Amino acid sequence: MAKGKRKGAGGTAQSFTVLNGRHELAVRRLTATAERVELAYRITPALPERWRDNPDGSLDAAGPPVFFSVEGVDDLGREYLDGGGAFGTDPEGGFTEGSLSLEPGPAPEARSLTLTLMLTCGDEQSTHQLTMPL
Amino acid sequence: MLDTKRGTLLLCSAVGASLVLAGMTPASADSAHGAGSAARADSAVSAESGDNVGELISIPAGESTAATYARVTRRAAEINARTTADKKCTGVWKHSVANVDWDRTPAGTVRWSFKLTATARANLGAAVTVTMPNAWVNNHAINPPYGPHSKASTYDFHGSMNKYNRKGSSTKYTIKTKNKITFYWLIKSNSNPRAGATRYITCAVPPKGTS
Repeated sequence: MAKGKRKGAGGTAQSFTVLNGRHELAVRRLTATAERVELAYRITPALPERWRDNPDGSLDAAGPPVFFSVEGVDDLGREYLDGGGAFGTDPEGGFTEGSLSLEPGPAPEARSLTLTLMLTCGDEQSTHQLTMPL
Repeated sequence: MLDTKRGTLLLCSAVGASLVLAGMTPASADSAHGAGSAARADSAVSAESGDNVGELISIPAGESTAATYARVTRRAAEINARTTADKKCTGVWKHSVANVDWDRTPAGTVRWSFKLTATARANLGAAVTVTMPNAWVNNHAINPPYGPHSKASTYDFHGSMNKYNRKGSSTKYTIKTKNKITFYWLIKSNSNPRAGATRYITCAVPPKGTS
């Protein structure tokens, strides 16, 4: 573990339904460094694939666009901006695994971070707030 | 059940996706976006347009990450300086390196989702690190809204922006409709230090609630 890294313990684990109850998002890990906060999650069942490969190497739409965004505020009132993320389907197709980040890293004296997650998949969207200990 | 009027591409379910894959939707999936179809189709721009650029790159042997960043940054700055935001950040921007989906939430956040093509993945390998060395709003360099993410090259890479800081300033600005935004992504192979790709988009912030 890098110096100064803060890693969420089991107590940070949270699960909730997203996208009108069609999927469950489970927070797996919250990691904080001086530069960023990173949240790892799993969504079950897997989100549909947005793209499929064409024989010529290009992409063709296969499912709805999926958008994921996050913003945060800590218990001291400091704001955190979306630092982006990435997600993909596990090889068995059972779930979507991903992570997203916020910037900057938390102030040393901050004790909790409230995240607002916004997830859109085609016509369905949901917004969720969760507070995580730092 | 399928809502054929709106099109299966609006369904967020494995059933909807599997039906699409089985060929039960129109041949042009981009045309199956119901009310949003026109905007999405209209914003699918050609690969060679100056506001929609990308290329596979060969990184010189031994070049440091900082030197690579500096090199691609110079090129990105040149493109940004000469490119106008003629199209809105909506719909899908297709390219042989990566397709990028855009929307803007009713609250005003611009969101994007980025997928590498099979051609790019074949060049880059199984795992990549995606960064955004540079971004601009109205030609002001800003702190890029995307940190490094190292994942399988098949993943969707996504981000969003509402508030931002200009480089060297602690003042928080909020994006506004018609702002010119420019994002420049650098994708590096995790297995081959000489393989990389770039992706560049300049577009205009659309009205709130646009997809």
